[in-house]
Amino acid sequence: MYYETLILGLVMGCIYSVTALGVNIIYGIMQIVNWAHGSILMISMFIVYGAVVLLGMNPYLTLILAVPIMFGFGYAFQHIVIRPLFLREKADSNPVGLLLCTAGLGIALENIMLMIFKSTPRSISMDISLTYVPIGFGRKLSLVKIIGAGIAVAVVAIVWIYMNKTYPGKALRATSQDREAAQMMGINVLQCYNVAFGIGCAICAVAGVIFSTFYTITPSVGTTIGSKAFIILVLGGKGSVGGCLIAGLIIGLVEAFGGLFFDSYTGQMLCFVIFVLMLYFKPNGLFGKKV
Amino acid sequence: MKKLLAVLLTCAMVFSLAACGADASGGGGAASPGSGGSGASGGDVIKLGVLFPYTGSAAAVAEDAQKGMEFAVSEINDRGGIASLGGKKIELYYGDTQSNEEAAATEAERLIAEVGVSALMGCYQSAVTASVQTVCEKYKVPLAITCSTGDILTEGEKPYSVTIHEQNQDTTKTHAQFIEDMNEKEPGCIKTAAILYQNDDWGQSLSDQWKERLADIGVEIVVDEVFAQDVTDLTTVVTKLVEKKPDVVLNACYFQSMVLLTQTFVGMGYEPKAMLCSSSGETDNDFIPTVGNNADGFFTVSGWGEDVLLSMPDKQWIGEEYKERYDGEHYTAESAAGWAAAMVICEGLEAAGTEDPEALNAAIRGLVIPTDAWWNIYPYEISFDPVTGKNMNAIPVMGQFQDTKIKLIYPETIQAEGTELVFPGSELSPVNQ
Repeated sequence: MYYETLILGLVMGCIYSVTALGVNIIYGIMQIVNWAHGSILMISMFIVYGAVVLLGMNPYLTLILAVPIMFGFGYAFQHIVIRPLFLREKADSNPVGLLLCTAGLGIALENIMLMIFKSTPRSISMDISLTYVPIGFGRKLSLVKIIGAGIAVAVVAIVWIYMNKTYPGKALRATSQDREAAQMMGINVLQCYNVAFGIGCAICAVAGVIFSTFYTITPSVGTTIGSKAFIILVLGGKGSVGGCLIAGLIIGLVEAFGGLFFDSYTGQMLCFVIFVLMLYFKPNGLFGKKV
Repeated sequence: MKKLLAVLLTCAMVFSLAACGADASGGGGAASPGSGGSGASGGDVIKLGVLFPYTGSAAAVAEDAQKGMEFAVSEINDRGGIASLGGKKIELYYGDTQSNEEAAATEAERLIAEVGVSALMGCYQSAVTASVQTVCEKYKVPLAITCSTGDILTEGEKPYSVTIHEQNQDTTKTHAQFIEDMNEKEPGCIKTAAILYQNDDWGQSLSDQWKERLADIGVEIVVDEVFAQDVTDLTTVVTKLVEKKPDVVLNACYFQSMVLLTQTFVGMGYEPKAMLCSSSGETDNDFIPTVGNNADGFFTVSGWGEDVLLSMPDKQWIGEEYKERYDGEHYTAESAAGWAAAMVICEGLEAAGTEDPEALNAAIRGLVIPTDAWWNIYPYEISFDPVTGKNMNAIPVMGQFQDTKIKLIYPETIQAEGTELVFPGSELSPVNQ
């Protein structure tokens, strides 16, 4: 039972980490908390649903549709809405407008989807939806969750390589470290912000694809799934890709073992206890830079 | 250009919020086709308030109940409105509880003080309903409790609310009675139980009663699991069930977790002898389309089931018309609860001959609706305890999912011809096929 719980915790942890990675990238580079994160994830799930139902696509193949769409959406939203606010508030030590802007986007997206699709739950059925595969010691685990974890790890790896080994990624990191210095070195900071927001939303799309393979799709699903992203953001450290993965794994394991030793509710509650303790004792997270 | 786009986007956001606000909080009166009225407006109508969660993680739960209410109001309006009030038509006004006690109380106050409703209906989650119940007592406005089964709602003096369908204590009583009967037929077949429930008033109240009743009949609880409404994985819970092998699983799950639980059961090949549900997620109209025949064999305690109409030939039109009206959707236990709540208030208005909430409340509490009343879809008379407002005649029945339909099977007296109880229920489950 412990072995199965360990694997389940790791699998769910990988999935949680990719859920948080988008919000982590945006916060790490732009210092903006994207409160619309859950709603963007929900929109991605609806894109997946639409592509599966209308185009008959395999849910995993919808990545080629959902990721560019959400990247474009994020890029355009940052360029058109956030950028003017950012320029107006950049000297402000407490940029409330930007916070309200993403929160407003989240509420608007959820309500627009409620208006269009109502609250009727939708789900995607695949041949492997109810397939559980052996994981050793006579134990089994959901195949779609294992595939989801594989995709999540791949995405974290790709993002890490992009951020650390490529010129545009290094430019993004430079922007996050010192905006003015980066600008003086010829980096187009505002362009970097557009790309960062786009990448954040594209990663949300990946999380949306993963969740839509095993979770019911409703306009309010983002609130349900998105809440853990902020725990992982705080735990892993803002802007740390590796930290995000490790924090996701910790949350997954705490939830799984908490559920095993106590009950499922206590397992979830323990995640929030960690959140509060982390804020108190190590506010920069496990791998975050000191502010 | 950019500024123009920014302005347009902002306008779109504002518009969407405003539109949603109107839909969920007041504008959706009888004039809109979905709200079931005749199109009457202004001072010639009687305003009734509906409080359900329209946003948040439980946004879908009360859809069927609301449809039942709209259907009832439409029916009353089509039949000439409230005769004792000169044929006045009914209009529904909506409030969003957001599944939150404070938000629900604020919305109830808005509907009462600003909109001027004569009565309220709702609110699904028992804790939320209790909060609205307090507001109704403060303003002396009647509340027809709908789809909330927490016993706190009928404990002590409740002068301004009535419950029409079964409450938790009736549900757990039926669960225990069923287990006892099964043990009588096949001695010792149910010795151990697991209890799974949502962490809220409803779930906690059921859990307390299960513990008491199961102890009384000598059934040991081997798994006691509580989970949050927004749980994303139940593998650990099912792992415990696989390890402890309880004979019966009693659960109180809303839609999302009920789907998750069913799918995890099938995925992990878990099959309890009996899975006893509590008239919540599994009775949602979207449950069967979502899980297909994977729930076959599950039992559900319900105040009502479509099969009840089979024994009421003169009322079968209700189910048929509902289906026609809502694109083939089934008339569920929750649709029935919504329908009955609206009908009880209309009967109260008819009896009171006034829209005054206090007089209406007195009239509602004095109602005696016989089983053969044209709209009474329950197999029992509706009348209310003068102190608690509880319908003392409400008896839950038990159904079993068979071939993606709920067949009423317990007590045996309510079984339709050709329907029989399959026990262990897992024999019907795809896990075994």
